Amino acid sequence: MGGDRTIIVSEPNLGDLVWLADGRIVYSLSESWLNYSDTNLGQVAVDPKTGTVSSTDYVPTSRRNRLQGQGKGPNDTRPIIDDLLVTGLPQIERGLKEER
Amino acid sequence: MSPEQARGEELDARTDLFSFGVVLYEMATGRPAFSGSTSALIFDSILHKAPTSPVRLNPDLPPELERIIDKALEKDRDVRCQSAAELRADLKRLKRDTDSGRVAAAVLRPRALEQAAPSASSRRKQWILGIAGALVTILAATTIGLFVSRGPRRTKEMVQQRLTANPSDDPVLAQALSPDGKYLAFADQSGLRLRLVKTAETQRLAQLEVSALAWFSDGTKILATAAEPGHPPALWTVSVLGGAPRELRRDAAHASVSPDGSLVSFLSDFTEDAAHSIWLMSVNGEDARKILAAPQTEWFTALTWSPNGRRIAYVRNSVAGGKYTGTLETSDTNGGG
Repeated sequence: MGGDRTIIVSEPNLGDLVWLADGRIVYSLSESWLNYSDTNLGQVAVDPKTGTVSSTDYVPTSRRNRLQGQGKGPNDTRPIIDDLLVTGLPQIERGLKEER
Repeated sequence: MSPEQARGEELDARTDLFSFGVVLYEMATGRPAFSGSTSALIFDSILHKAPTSPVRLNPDLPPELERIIDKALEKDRDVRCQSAAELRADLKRLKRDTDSGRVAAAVLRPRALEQAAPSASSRRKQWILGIAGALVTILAATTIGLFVSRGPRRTKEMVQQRLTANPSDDPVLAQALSPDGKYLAFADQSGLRLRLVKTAETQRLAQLEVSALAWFSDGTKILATAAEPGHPPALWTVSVLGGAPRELRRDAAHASVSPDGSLVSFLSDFTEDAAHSIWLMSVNGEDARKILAAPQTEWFTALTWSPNGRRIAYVRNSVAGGKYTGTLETSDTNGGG
């Protein structure tokens, strides 16, 4: 059962994830299984054709964030991602990539 | 981030002038204009507080530069600098006046003191000339970048905009942005609700105990995972146009619609709260097939599609000796049959 499987990340407390149009998989990573308030976002670039990792990065956010469910914003079909949804419980926030 | 951006309003070039003012402030004082230990405090500072007077932090600054910075940092964009050209003119005027000694004279100490320390006065003037010249150069480059180049904007840094305001005892349980980004579907104790992002106008869609949400690609329907106590979760379709929710499939949760809008992936084969398989089906609930299965010691949680719709990514969990392990995996969608 199952097709061509690849393992991308091994961590004890992985949460929700999204696969963005630019190839990045953004995922929640909690410090502990029960403590959702101490969570950040990680990211890893994955080739959507082969499922292989093309580059690894970590924590695009520097504060408490976690993805919840379909945390992908409306621009996931565009080459550059402008937003994705994150939540600092109990609120929903939209993460906007902004030029500085 | 400008105040209007923090409020989620439509933006124009004056937002960039505010950001430029923030850079000017930090260059002139060595401190950020708006600070706080959390994003909420920084937002509050941007929206409601005036930064400390730059001259108080750096007494060598000419008052004219402080006026320029204050004008760029106006919270009301209608009374802010209206264009980069206006800001550049102000900076060039400051540089010219400093060159000619007019501004320098305004900030110099009494003549006797100046004569006692001519080298300090000279250094101050050089400093003013230097910063004004550098700022004019930077602004010119910024102007070119903002108004001459029509290329796509490059994105760099994540900032956040709050979309809900639930109390802590009634947290948001699930959410999904509509495909066009205009609506936020979210669920809390009162059920499933739909919010227009721009105005925060909200309406109730269904009284379901929702744990996950996804939109169909046409933006008219929502896939909700909902469960009654003691029962495995089920997938429901909810129309944003109204009408009763329709149960699409039992023993199914955490659905995700494929990028082409033709398939739904979901978790199934629940034992208590743990899903032991991943399935695909058509968006009307037909032609369901299992593509991945896990033994009873493992279970799946998150699930999403790759952007080209050929693969799925998910989290496989296990526990051994009281220690949890999770792996983020991908698989093509050809398994099962």
